[in-house]
Amino acid sequence: MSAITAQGLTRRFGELTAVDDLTFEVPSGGVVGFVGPNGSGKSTTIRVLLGLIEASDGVGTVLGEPITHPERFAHRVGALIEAPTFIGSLSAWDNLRSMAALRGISEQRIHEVLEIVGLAGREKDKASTFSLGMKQRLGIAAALLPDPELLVLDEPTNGLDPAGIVEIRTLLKSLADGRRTVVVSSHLMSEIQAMADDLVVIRFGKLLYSGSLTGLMEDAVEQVIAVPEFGTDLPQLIGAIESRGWAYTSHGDLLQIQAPASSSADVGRAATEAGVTLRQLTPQQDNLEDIFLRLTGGTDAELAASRGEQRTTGATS
Amino acid sequence: MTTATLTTKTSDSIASAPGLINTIRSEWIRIWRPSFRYGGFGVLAGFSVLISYFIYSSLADPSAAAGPAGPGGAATTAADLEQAGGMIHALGTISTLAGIVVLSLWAIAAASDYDSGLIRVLVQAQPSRLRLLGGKIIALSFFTVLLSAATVFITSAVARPLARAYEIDTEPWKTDAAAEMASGFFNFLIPVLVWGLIGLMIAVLTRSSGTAIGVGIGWLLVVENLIGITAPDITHLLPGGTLSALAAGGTTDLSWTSALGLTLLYGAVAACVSLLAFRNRDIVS
Repeated sequence: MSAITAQGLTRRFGELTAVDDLTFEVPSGGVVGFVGPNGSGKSTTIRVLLGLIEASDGVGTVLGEPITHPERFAHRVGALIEAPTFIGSLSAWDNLRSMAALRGISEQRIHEVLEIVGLAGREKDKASTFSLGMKQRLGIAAALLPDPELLVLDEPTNGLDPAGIVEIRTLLKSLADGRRTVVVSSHLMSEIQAMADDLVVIRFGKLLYSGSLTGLMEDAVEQVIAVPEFGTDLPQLIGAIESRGWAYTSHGDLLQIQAPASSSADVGRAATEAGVTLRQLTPQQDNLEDIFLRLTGGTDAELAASRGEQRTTGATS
Repeated sequence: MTTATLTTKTSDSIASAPGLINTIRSEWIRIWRPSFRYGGFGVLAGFSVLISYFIYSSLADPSAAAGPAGPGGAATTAADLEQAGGMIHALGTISTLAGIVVLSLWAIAAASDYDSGLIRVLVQAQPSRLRLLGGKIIALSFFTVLLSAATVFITSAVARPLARAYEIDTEPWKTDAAAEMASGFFNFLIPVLVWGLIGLMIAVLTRSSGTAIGVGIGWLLVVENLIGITAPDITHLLPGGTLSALAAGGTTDLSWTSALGLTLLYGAVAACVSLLAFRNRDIVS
């Protein structure tokens, strides 16, 4: 059974279509990255799926239940939607106790979730005294209270320092056991690449990709960057590259060789045999961000500009 | 596309005992936080003592006693205090200020969920919005009952030393004291609860505690007074006038029974508008 399905899911706010005919499926188990730049419609999609706002069109299911009946799946879902929210003057314990009471969960479970997120011993501290990272962990603890089959975390690493990001990443990976599905939305592609098994990629509310991370990464362009020590050696280096049948592009002294990243040793060997000493030899592979930009054909600003032009053209034609 | 399936609103009802009790318990933990507890009880205790003192001290000045009616709708004379129930006579005057405090507390309790974003977590955990808001109303009502009981107790407690100080005969206070206290408590509690419901309604509609408090107090202190100038015949029927009349045990313009009926009507309208708005609006905060 899929953890989440969406068919033609659409949400409009007046003339703005925040979620535009989304169709995707999130498999059960593992970490699923819900990726897109800021303002791409991730949070709106999550709110529609969790029943906070109604869809304008389309259907969807969460844990096999229709999203129009969130009461049927709410007890099996934990969520941290945007920033973690607590009453600062209450202790971590009382904040969690309030959420546990709402769900009819025993206080014993509060001890367990505090242990899981590494906040055991800090439960008496007021939430207002917590650092951003601790607040994120407290938010995840609240989401874990129902021991959910589906954990939905919207931008859980927002505002965290690198150490905090690693901490949360490790925690989320440990939470995604075979039974539990963890959906993590983020605009940080590198973050998602480091933890996700599957991806849903959206932009301007439209689906760009839905499937496994490895499937998407198969499209990654690999290349080797080579720079000779002396610019005068460039012709010999090019000759050696051509003789091995590798395509290349040159940018000054720098050669971008279209060869698998694993063949960098071969490039080095070819250069040596041609009598060229290399100043730089670097294997490179597209990361998720590169692939994302290739999928969309440009940066946000470029696309927004082109969309604006299209609208203007449409309006005048 | 299957639009038809989406226009069917989730079946939602308040009535599910475990769900509603869970909601009340959850809400109570948040309401019973120090700022609410100390703020609510502290402010009302302060008002009780101060207003009681002003009422008794103004009796010493005959010209003040003969002055215009206060918020409670009637100027207080020594004769008013030297009656059964005189020990809680100040409640009629305290009621309007207590109403503003309770309006503010209810508005903060409702709108701060939007301000902080907590509403997202609450609605995800308890998708029945009627149950969620119903639980909040019940928990806040219980809190208001405690506030009102404390106010009645403090008002009656400070009345005795003040009466001694200003030579008020307290012998009549011993007549039907329990019944007088009960009716005074009722006349104080009902308007204050309705003030709370009005605060809740404005908070649910505006989703901002600051705006809700501003609108509520602005209505009471400015709008009703302006209406009173242009259309004095209907002032006593407006929320502020009606609730004050009930708190004062009825006035010459509005009998106790009419004031109670109109107060309950205002409360019912405020509760219904709050529940309908909360149930049907998107959670976009």
